[in-house]
Amino acid sequence: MRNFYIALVRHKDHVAFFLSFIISITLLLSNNSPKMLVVRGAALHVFNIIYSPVSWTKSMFVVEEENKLLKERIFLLTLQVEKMSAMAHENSDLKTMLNFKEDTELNILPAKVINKGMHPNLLSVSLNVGTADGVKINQPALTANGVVGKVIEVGSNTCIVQLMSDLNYRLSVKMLPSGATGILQWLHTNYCVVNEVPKNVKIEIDDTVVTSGFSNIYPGGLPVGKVVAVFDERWSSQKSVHVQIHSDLGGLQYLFVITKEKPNDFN
Amino acid sequence: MILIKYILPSIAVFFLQFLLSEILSISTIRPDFPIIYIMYIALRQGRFQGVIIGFILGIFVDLAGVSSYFGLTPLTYSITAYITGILQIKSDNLNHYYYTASWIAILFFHFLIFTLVRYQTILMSDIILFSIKWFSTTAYTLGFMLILQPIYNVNPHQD
Repeated sequence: MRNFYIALVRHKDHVAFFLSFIISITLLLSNNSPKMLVVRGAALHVFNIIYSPVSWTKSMFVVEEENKLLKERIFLLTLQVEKMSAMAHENSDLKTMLNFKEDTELNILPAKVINKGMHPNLLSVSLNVGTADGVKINQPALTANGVVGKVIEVGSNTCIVQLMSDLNYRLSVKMLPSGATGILQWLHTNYCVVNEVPKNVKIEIDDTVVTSGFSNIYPGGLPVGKVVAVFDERWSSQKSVHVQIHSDLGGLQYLFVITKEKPNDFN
Repeated sequence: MILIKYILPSIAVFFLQFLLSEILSISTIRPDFPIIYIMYIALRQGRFQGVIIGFILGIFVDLAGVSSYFGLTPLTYSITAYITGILQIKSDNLNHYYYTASWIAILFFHFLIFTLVRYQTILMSDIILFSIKWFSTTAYTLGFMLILQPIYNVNPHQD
């Protein structure tokens, strides 16, 4: 026993490395365990409280410029709303005449980005909304320009959004006007690639990319980006499409979380 | 003693990363202050201290917000501290240039592991872009480490 203790002390650096290696691998393999999610949710809450003064200071720096831009936008939107309310009224009348049902009713929750993680690359952001606001895992997160990610961790007043730039992020999308569907994954900066697109579909540069609505997470028709390049894969029946997303992932300040599409749509 | 020598500086480095990394980010690339600190600890204090601090700091960095691969940061920090500790043991036999080249190579290796995991899809599709990602992520942190050298040299024999 004494010899074992002496050996342990003599090789303490190897033992420490071995233990840290084993624990790290165990953590990596138990990423989705419920206990781990609880611990991470609690830790996130604490870190976001610590980070809130910094977040507040940063938002003060941009608030004046943002206010000016918002005023301009409000003015333009007011004009649009006037026009659209007339069109909606007309549309409603026409729908009544056709006995047509409304497709979707999105419930959007605005949220502030309070923390962008600590890693050398931006992969996730924390928001100041959580279960108390009706946020659940797998709810979509978007900016006014389009989809940016989904909720993967929820605490009582905070949540983590997995951004498109994360390696494991996938999104089912549809290209308009062709209607071709594929699976979008991040490539670099604000560019993504859509795979599994049939080769016989005609896709043009600047075609609009929206969510397909095939998944349980994202409602259909949410804006994603536009097509910037199309590549035919030589020995395959598929083509890959490069897409520029509308949202700037590096400059996120506020996001919207879709808390509900239709009742019972989210688990 | 341990409190002043290890715990307080570790807390300071953690908060430096937590509060400043976003402000210092260029595009989506940020400096990695904990790895600089871990390498300093491993090179000046020893492998054991480096591995322990690397593991604990890595856990806290991941707890502060990571979307996937929770546990990767303590793993990479521990590996880097362990390798850096080997350099500390051999430091007496190495001249200044080999020593400097070695810790720079270790830093590149650390970010290679990180980039290989985080950007494996880019590696498959565009190796040049992958290399740029790897180089730029490493270079940004390396820049901070080089700035520190005249103030606090990473080589204990240069003091």
